[in-house]
Amino acid sequence: MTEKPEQVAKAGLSARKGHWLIEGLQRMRKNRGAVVAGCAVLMFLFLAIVGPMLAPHDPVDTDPPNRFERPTLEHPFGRDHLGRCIFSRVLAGTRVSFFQGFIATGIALFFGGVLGIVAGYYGGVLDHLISRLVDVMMAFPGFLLAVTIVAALGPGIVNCMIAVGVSSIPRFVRLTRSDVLSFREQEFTEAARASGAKDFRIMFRHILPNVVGPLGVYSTLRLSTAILAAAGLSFLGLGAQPPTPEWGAMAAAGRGHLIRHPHMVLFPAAAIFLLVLAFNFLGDGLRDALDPRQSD
Amino acid sequence: MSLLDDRRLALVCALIFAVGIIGMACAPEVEEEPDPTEPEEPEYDFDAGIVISRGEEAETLDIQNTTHASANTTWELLGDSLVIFDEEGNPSPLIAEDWDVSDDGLVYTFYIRDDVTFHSGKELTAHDVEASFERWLSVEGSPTRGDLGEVESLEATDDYTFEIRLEEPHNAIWNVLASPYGTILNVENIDEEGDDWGTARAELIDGTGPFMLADWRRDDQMVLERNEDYVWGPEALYENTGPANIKEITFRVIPEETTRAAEIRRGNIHIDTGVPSAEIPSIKEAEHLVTIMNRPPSLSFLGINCEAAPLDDVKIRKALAHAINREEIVEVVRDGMGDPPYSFLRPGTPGYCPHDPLCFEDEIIRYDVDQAIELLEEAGWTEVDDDGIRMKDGERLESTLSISDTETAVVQGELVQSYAREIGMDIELNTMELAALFEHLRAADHEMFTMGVGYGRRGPDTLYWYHHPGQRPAPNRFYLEHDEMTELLELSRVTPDEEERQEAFCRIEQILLEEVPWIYLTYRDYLAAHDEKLENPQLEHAMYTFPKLLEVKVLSE
Amino acid sequence: MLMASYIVRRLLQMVPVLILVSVFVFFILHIAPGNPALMIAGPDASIEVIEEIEAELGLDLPLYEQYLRWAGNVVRGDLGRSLRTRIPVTEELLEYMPNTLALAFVSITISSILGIIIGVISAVRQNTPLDTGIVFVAVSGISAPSFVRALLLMWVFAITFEWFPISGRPAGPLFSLPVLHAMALPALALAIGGMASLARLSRSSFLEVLRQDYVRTARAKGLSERVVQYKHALKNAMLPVITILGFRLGAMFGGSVIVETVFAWPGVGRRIIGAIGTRDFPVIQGAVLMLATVYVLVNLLTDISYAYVDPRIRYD
Repeated sequence: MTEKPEQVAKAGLSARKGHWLIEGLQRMRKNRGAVVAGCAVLMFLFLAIVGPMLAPHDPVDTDPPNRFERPTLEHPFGRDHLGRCIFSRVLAGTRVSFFQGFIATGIALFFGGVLGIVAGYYGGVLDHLISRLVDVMMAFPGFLLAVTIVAALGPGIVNCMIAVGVSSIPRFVRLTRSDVLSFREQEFTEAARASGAKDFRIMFRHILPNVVGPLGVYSTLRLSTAILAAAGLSFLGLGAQPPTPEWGAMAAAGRGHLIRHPHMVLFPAAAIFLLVLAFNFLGDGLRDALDPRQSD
Repeated sequence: MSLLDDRRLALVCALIFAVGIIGMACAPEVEEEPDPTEPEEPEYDFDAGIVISRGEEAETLDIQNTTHASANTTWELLGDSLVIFDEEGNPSPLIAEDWDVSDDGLVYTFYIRDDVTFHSGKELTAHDVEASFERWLSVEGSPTRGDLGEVESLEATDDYTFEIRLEEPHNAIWNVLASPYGTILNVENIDEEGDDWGTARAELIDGTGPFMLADWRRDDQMVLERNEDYVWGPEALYENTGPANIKEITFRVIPEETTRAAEIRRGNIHIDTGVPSAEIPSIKEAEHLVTIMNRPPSLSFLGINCEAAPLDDVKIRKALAHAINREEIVEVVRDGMGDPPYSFLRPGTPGYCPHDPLCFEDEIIRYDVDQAIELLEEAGWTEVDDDGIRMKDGERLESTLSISDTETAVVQGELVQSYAREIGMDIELNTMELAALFEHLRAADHEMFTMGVGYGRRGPDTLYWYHHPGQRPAPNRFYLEHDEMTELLELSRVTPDEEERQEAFCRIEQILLEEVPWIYLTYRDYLAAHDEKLENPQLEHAMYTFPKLLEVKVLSE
Repeated sequence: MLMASYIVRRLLQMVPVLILVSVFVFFILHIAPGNPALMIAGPDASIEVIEEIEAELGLDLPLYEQYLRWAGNVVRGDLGRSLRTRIPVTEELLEYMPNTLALAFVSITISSILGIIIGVISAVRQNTPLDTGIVFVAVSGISAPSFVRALLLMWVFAITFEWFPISGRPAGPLFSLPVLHAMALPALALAIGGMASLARLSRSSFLEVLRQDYVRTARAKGLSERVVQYKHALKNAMLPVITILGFRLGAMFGGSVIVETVFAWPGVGRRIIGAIGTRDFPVIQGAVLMLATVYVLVNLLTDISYAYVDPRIRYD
């Protein structure tokens, strides 16, 4: 949730020696908030995998005469405006929302990471070009960028993921680049170069492992942003295609019924809230753990 | 700091937050105290102003160069056309006190009132009418100018006589003459600003209507003031022919429906002509609001590309039509506001079959799942795959429905999808932005689409646009080749014989039910709501023709 | 003089960035399906009418020519006219932009004040339940989707308690009382997003500063704990906070799209969404260019002010 990738970069910098990951995770165990959040994320992951199978009803099965039914034992979250079981839809939607965030962040991580490593490693004209490109994308308000991309590609989950992913690439580039810059002239890089390793090998075998930590932390934080952005696109009608159960679209569809049938908004919104909250706390915890300066 | 403290605190925080959300969502509406000081005899405030909400801003007030609904509404108030439709859908006097149409249907002569002035004080003559129409025909890219037909000449034969000569008869001409598009404008002001006149400066918008534009802050509010000189209101529609009984009208633009409904419940908005369906119960419950049902000739439908497999088989089209539960769609999509439709024209609108029984009684397609399944089996779709989808020669019975991304269209699409699943047909929904949808439908690679049509009081004429082969790829998106229908459509355009026209439309309705290029989904009603302190705002037709607000009075507080 | 040449260089760097922004917007919009002429004429218009409108608007020219034409005009200070309202885009932006900027300004102010207060309190009370609670609430705020947040704020404070107007912008100058009153909820809805990140950042930088030498010195000099914390540490802890204000602005502009829609605020975000819907290219291009310019300038400004607060920063 921080807006400053450099901050995270420092975390990685100071933690790169030794078994930083193990040490970090041990430190994190003391952070109960992060542990709880981590468990919550694992639970969501579990639900994302098996959720659709656990759903007591078909999430797309409509039953208009019983629409807007309040929560009951059979339908613990009630029914929506088409009489579909909200509980089943929320369960089934875990997969959609979870992976929407995951893949969007994955896209950003991959392209941002590669561009960042290339820019940081080669420097010079290439670095300059990539940095300008990042400036351009940063100057374009992120959410508007996503809206424009979806307008160009057409609405839908996949396009939505691409849009959200692309619009968060620049932050990843900045983070990776500043990290790589600090490794470029280090001994192990020099050593690799001296032993005749190719640029490609140095970048991806020697430098990459060192920037994975901060990138991972930052990705966890960006996941929450990505999930929220996808929900925002659904609010504008640009997200998942009906009848796909997607939390943002479900909450948005219920917003007109907020007064009389609050359960239509409440449950999907709470699901988004909890998942995003979990990612935020986990990301915070990871960052704190990997940044020893804060671990007193 | 003990572990317990920390955890307990987090738990409390979470609880507070959750309770907060639930409490907020369930918070009871604040009851409005009924006004205790209601006077025994109503007293009216003739200097009052009222606020009307709109969902979208008028993009331009150049009414000759837009079809935007907000511009139409505004011009009903700012201007007058030559004629206006009365309750029965017949043209009645407005700027023109009388008119003649030559027997061959080519020459329209209008006799102009001699007491009409523009807001600027300029007197209106037939020359202004001519100039206004001339300008209309000269606007490059005007979406409406073609609706006048093939115009041979326009001429003010004297100060108060205006003549339109056509190259061929055009029965639909009244539709534009009686609409706000045909408003008589003071073109002197247009010349000053050219094509940008419609948005340039409020003082340049010069019409003859009961209200004058006073202020316009775009996407926020537009303020109209009473025209004190207005006395030429249409007698066929209003007892008060002017000036209006209220001093000021403010249009407020509020895009989000939830917000709009909250504002009218609070009493900040006095008229909302399109209450969003989700808000209907809360609006109906509000004690200070009066609701009026609009029943315009307006249809939402599912259109089928009759050339795209598998829907090129009429049996499948018919099966799908039988599978649709229209009553339920009206209930779910429109909260009961509307009627299930069984013909293109809504009963009671001009052109609807006058006979009993109806000329197309036997062909009417009703909700009947068994019949639908029978039709599919007849067509050879007998196997069923694991998902319950029908198959024929190894091919699944599937199709794509293209819809716009509005809430209503999506809900409607989801329902259609679930009905189709009942009979073993797999429909994929393809939602897109309106801009993309329009283009998609023009590219003619669609299979099915949903749309709405408000066809006005002379609705049957629109059938020509929808089914004449010359209108492909749009608005004829059905691609149904039917020679008899084509002939009938051409006949309806030119025949001066009303009875023959009527017969043609009855037969066309019948053909449409035999061939099923349309699946009618709902006749749409609209709920208008107004504050109880307004008397007689005449919103019965507001969705279709906005009233000139001459009758509305505001009760003194 | 170092500063002046730095500013000039940064301003020059802006030029290619803005050009690329405009190229990017232009081409992505033109690849997008949808035809402005079709949106103007309506879905039922004849092909002739549509072609006529396309010719009228210059949409029939090759893409690069359309871009060069537009760019040429921009250089001359003319952003073109809206395809729909036919108003000069500059004029439209002058109408909408102040509303959005004011909203962003108020909301950044709210989020900075609240964010810093929260951050400092939780740093001073580090690892106490208060700290945990505050962080939890702050993070909760950004974990709800923005439209849910906006609707809830409206529901509670405008509809139920009637403390604020529900929507709209009253007439009058931007920073007059009724306008600020109406701006409060949308600004708060936007501010909550930034508040949490500011709180996090000011908490950690405050913690860091507290550990540093000069704070220890101040303590050693016998200054009371309170004075040390609030006077010495606070000033230095603000540094990183300032840097992210510029970043926040971008998020603000993005978030304003939804908030402006919910609260019927006549701002540029809502205008852009409307323009995307009708494919009103000049408006989208002009507005995005303007937002990008503001964004770049504000970031330059924060960098400069950073230098004022922290003289150790050098420009090279």
